[in-house]
Amino acid sequence: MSTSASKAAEAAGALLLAALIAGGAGAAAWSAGAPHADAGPALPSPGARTLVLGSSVSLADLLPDALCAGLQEPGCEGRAVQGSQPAHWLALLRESEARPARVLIAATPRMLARARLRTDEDIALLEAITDEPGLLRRATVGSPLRRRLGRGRLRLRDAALGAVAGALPRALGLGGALEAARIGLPAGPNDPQTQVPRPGAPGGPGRAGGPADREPEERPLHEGFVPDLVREVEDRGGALIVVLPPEPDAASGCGDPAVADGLRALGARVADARAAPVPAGAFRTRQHLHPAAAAAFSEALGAALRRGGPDLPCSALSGPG
Amino acid sequence: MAFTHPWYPGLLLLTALLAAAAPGARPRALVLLVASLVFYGWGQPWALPLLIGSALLDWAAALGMARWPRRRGLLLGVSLAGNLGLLGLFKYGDFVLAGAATLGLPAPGPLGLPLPPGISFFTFQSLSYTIDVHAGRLAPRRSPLAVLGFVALFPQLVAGPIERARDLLPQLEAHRRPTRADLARAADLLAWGAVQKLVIADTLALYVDLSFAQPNAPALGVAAGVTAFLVQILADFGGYTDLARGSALMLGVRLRGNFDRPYAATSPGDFWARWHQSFTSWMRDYVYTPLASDGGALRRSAAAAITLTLAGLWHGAAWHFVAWGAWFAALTVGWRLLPRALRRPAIGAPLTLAGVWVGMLIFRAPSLSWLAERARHIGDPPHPQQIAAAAAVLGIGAAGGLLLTAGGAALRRAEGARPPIRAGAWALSIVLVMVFARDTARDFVYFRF
Repeated sequence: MSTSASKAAEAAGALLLAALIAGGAGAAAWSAGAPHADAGPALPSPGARTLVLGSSVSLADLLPDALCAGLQEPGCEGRAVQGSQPAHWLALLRESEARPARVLIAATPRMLARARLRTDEDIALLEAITDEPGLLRRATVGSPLRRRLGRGRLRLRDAALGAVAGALPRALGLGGALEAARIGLPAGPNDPQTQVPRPGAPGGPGRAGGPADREPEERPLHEGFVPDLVREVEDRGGALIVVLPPEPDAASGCGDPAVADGLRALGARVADARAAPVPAGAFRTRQHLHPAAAAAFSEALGAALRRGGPDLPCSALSGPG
Repeated sequence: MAFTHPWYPGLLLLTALLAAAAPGARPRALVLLVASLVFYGWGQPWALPLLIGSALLDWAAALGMARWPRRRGLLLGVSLAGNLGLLGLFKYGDFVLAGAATLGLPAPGPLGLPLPPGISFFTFQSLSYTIDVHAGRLAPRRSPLAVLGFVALFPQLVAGPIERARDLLPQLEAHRRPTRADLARAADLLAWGAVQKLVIADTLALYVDLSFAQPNAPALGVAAGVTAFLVQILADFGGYTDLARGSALMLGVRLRGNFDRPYAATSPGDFWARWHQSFTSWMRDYVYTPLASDGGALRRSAAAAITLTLAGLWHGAAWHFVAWGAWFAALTVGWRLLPRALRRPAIGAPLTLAGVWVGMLIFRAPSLSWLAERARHIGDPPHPQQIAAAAAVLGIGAAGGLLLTAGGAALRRAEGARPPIRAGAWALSIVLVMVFARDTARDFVYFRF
């Protein structure tokens, strides 16, 4: 019996060892396939009263201290993350204990329409924010086959466009200048300006983070995450305020009212700053302000929110000052 | 609903099957009408009453012309006032109010009315019915559904081609099923239309937009952007037209073409005879001809200037569209003053293309003030990165132009091609669309008008 017991113990130990090895290898393979960010972005703190979420446009245009100065109240907190998308903003909110009175997101409708994460970096960021992505991951990443096919298509497109657009500059001996034009632009990787292929961006196969590689799928606004964001903020007793950022050609007027109306129809409040009087020289890119201009804009926005409530039509922000 | 909507192929196929299976002309017309209303009401049901109202007004006006011949002029006036009033209110209301406020006149604030899709197209198409009935070129229809079906026919409802009632109404009233040759031709048009729109136009749009979007867009970059825009807009609108013609052919309806190699024009007048032909012929027949009406050279020149400036305004409620029309008016009138030697095709063609290029710069510019601002910096020397970017835009524009030219030539010869070659071209089109189409197709440029 003792021999049998000993053999059984040895077999169980071997099985355990095999399971450990297989598990370790699997974990290593998984880690290699989908790299995790070392440390996720900080979650909103429970005491935040005014919370700024979003990507580089929020980072550039909405400065929490200046917002609080305009609002004349404390508790402004910036949790915008460079290169993030609506799925990330929703995950940040869901993971936090914050109950802010208002959540501000500066974004274009196109940015708000993004619903699917494609790159490993985007997926890793989501997983760094939330331990149990569950439904959110399934909704944003989709099946591995679909993802693989989609990325293959994008790489082929990138290669073709890169070859065609780069041919003439290279023939003129301007290949280096073209690459510098591409990488020298200050906008973040998921900004609309880098969504589009840079003129002549080589972006060939295997070029991680090539511009077309970073084109997430977009859906109509109501099929994206805006309704979820509205619900999440309202469940916490606050209001989601989408800030339509200032534009360099503001003199042309308030633009298409359907943009703001579409957001309002989904329950979001809209601070329409597209015609805000920001001088052309204050823009770092089409949607990113220089810090000094961003401070002035944020303070003016805070004051307008204090005076006019969470929903500000274009005319409320287009006047002088 | 746009042709690029994921459900559009389903709607088209279902309509084609039901129309082909319909037991007679009236059921077929009813199928087409219901499909058209679904297509137009999709996403913007609020605009349906405007479309129906415009058609019913013209149906009643035309019927009234037959019943009270002495009041034909008055009834035509009612039709004109109704349709142009609708267009004026929704498309130009805020533009006029802003202009009045600029001049210091008392004016209320902006109306903020949404622009009903295709209003510029369906009001013109509907008007052609009453004008032709008034002129005795067409008998009025007793059935309001017949007129509504003509105005609302979905393949050409939102951005043309603007069809004449005397061409389209008889096709809708007949019980014609598409032949195999029609279906093959429809496949040619749909495949090539999709490539023009989703592969050429949408790809170029990214580069063109970028050329115009930089806060301090350099002159060289803008010049490259305009050059690529020449290809983009032709591919965009030409693609729409081919998709419309292919869709209609599947329903047994033949629509007219809109473009005939416009950049090969040898004079401004020739350009307008080749560009957006259904609209320019409408303007020629219903605006220019009545204005010029057997007058001398001066009167004809004035009529051409007025017609082209109005054509510019038709494109949008903004001063740069008016300036665009006025530019072509100046080109057309000025052309007649040029020495005969300069008007020879060998010289006239590049001169015309240069004039069209300037016109497209005005057309694509966000505003006249933007143009003036860029003009002030036209002498700024570009740095190497800007030169490289402009060269890239030019290169991709040229590639788009080559593809557009080759594809257009192939389409013209497709009907005589052997079946395997034709099927190969369809397959190639599908592959190109699958690789190059963006996740979200852009609106057609002419949807804004």
